[in-house]
Amino acid sequence: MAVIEAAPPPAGAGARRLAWRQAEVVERVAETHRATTLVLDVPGWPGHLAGQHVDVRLTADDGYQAQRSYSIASPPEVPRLALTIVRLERGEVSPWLVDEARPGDRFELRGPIGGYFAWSVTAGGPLLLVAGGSGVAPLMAMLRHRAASGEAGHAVPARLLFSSRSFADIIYREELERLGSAPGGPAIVRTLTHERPPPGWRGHARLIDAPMLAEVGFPPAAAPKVFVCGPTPMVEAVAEALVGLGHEPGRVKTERFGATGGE
Amino acid sequence: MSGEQACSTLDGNAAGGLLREVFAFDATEARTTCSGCARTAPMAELRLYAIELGAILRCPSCDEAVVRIARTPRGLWLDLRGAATVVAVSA
Repeated sequence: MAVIEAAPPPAGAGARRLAWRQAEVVERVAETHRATTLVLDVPGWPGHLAGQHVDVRLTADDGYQAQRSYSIASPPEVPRLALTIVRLERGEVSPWLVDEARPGDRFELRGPIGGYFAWSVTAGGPLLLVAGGSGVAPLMAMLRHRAASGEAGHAVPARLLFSSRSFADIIYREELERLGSAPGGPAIVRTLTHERPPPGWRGHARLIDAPMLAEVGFPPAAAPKVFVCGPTPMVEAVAEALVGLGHEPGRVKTERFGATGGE
Repeated sequence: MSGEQACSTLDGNAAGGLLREVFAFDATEARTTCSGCARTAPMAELRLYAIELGAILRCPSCDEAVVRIARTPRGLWLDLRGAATVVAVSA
């Protein structure tokens, strides 16, 4: 193919396919010492699928703009959007969102974005979710969507394998425990990678590896729909291990989030 | 996902918003064949570099720059020389 250069579309209705909208913070939820969920009111939000994300754009007083992508953690059934954000040191956007944004504050957002890393109950299962750290956010949207879908949701076997650095770093810990123990709830298996687990810990204490995936995941013959989200090294190791176990590459969908070096 | 650093290795998912400015279809799902090694995969699986002033999406197998998008004062600049074909998934 060739090189194409296009002038920006004229301003006006219909010229832009993905509009920037005003989001207003309505609630802050402290998830861990580094992660905060912002609940947003976004007038005109067109709806989304679990797993999709938004672009967030902050504009400084001098006009400087910084833009980042964040997964939507809330399910399609909930009108308000929830973004779970981890503060990255030296970040341009996350420190403001995590430390400064208060109810009533506004910023720009566009979405929903991305049909590749998206799932709905109608797509069926079994559903295998593998998360590392804040990579759990889009997978949480899938589990919340499944839970909000009643019988149709319960009919989809679902498992979450969730890796966190330490017990204190487990995002959505209590909600995941509730979801996992509810009738028809997903199986939830946790692993801690950087700190000795607390007494009574029922889970693993190592990086996710092929034996863990073989134990937790559905067999390849069950043809599960697999979603893997987390830091790049974790995502690549998990995807490679799953394919090595016999899962078809096309059914293993991956999303890497960029927290290299500084995190 | 939280793409916070300019040159961290993200993937085509994070460029989805920019891709929506370029393509009339959801390009993250579009099966894209690398002109370097003929690997075919959804654009979401390409590796993303330099999101700030545009995006370079590289083949995870051979590192070919499959999709290059730059914001210029005159508009968007799109270079698809690294893509043999792009096939949109019908809704």
